[in-house]
Amino acid sequence: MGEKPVIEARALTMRYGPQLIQKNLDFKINRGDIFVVMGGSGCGKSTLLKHLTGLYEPASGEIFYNGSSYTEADADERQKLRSQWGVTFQSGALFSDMTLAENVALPVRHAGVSRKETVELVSYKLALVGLAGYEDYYPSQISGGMCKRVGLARAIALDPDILFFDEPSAGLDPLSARRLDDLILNLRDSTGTTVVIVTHELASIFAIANNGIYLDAITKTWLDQGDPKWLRDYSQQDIVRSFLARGEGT
Amino acid sequence: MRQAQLYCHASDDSPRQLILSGHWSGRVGTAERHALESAVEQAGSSTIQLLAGDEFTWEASFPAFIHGLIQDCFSHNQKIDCSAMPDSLQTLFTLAAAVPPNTAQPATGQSRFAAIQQVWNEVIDTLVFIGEMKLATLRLLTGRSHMRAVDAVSCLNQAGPQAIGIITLISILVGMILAYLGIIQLRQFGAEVYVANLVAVGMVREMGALMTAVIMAGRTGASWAAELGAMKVNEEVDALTTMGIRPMDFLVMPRLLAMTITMPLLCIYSFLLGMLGGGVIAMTMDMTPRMYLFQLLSSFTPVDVVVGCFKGLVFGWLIVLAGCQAGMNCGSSSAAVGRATTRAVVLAIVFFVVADAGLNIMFYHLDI
Repeated sequence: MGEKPVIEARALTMRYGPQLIQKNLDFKINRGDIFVVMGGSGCGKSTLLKHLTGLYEPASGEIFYNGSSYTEADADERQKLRSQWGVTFQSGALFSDMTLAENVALPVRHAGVSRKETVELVSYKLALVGLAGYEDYYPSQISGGMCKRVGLARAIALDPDILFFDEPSAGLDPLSARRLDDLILNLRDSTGTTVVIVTHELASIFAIANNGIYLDAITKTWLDQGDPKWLRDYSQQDIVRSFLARGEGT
Repeated sequence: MRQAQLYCHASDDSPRQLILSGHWSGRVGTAERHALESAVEQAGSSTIQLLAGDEFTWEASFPAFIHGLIQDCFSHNQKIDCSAMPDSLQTLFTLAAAVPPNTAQPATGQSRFAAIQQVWNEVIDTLVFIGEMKLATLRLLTGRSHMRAVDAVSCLNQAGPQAIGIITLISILVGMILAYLGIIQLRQFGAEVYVANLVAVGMVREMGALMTAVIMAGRTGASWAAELGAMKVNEEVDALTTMGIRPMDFLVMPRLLAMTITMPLLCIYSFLLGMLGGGVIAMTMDMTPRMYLFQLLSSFTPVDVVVGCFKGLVFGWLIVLAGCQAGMNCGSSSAAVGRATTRAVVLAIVFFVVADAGLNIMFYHLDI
């Protein structure tokens, strides 16, 4: 008992200039959680992820990592925290003038891993996402779905403490999406990685997530949080139940 | 197909009923559509019930018209009851009303002082960027930078060898222009021989650096702004940040380093070619090569070359500042990349022309 949550948001309010995105978000993510951020289009899920990854500053409220405030951390502390995270982006965000191997190797080399070890690591991580043998390809030579998988390989290259995924399975074929779910579960089980996912894919949500939050675009705050399966059956909020029940054909 | 018709039935004990029959479309029955609008208007605050009459059919534009009518009525506290309309229409209305309309206005920033605010924000952004560049330079000099040597070499290639062709052409032509200008004026005093002085001093102290900077701003600065802007749109800059790699070190420093190395060299190259271009014109005006060369070498000193190169260096830094800042602060749309590119070129030219004026005043007072 008493272990601090890996991530904790307290009264987090997000804005784009004068436009309010979400207000008063309070949630805790514990070690080993697979936490899913749910909600309709435009409710601010990706924006929340950008706040959690330190790309945007909150309008008010605070985010804590292992009990320490990120908001109050200085540049060096933030840099140190970031080096323990892996982040994937909606588009993959690969560097177009680098090969896939160079893309995956970038954070590895930055962390000071030797060239030989980097080559082995890159090859293994690309194989994990089903892209063995694609090391020398450029992002422009592969499909969008493959780019996302390379982005994932890059994010998990250093076995991060926290993995952030923005729509990981959007644009993937069902088999690749299933493989991705298995990989995320495996990462969590083998290394205790905490995973934060923004997704619409209900199959993925029920397959892997054990915790989550539902953001509402109209009230601009969270409506409910907890295990997605529990939310589907027992949430007091009709909209949350109906959002999650859609996957069951109800 | 039967023409659209509207029948209005009003009684005290039931809602006002509007019965629609015939074919309702965007073109047919415009008069009836107006009649429907007026009937709704006359109904006041009571509920209006729409009913499907004989041979009622509709085209795709009809639900849009009724939806608009419902919205208008809603804003006037009226209610239109469509429950007696065909199911297919009701489904469409239900779908359209499923999510309440957004009441918030998009942020336009069109306040009275929006333009001043924008200029002020740009000044602040530029100062912040200069500060970040300074810190990144210090990290580079102390060996703590995240810059990759391979990126610096690639930028060096873009800002050096790849620019040689266009700089050759422009420098020769500028030298020729200066020579023509000088010959026309100096001939009036029988002093054509001094055309070499004009070309040499003009190229070395002013035109060489200025024209090289114009070319580099239009060619390399714009290209870097577009490249960084596209990286920003593609979330590559965010990806770097989340990897713990400073974008300023990784993306801006290689460009700054490349420009610092190439600009003075390109300026010297431009001086030489400008003098060559001027010489070609001087030859055609009965001046011997020996005379031109003698006059040329006696007209400028190494200090002039240093001044010219220093100007080129400063212009190069300003091109990196304008190009990289425009790219890194680019919005998230493809149109924003275009704007960033334009901004990079315009700002760079403004920056280095202002800097040139300032440097000339400074050199004059320092007697350099």
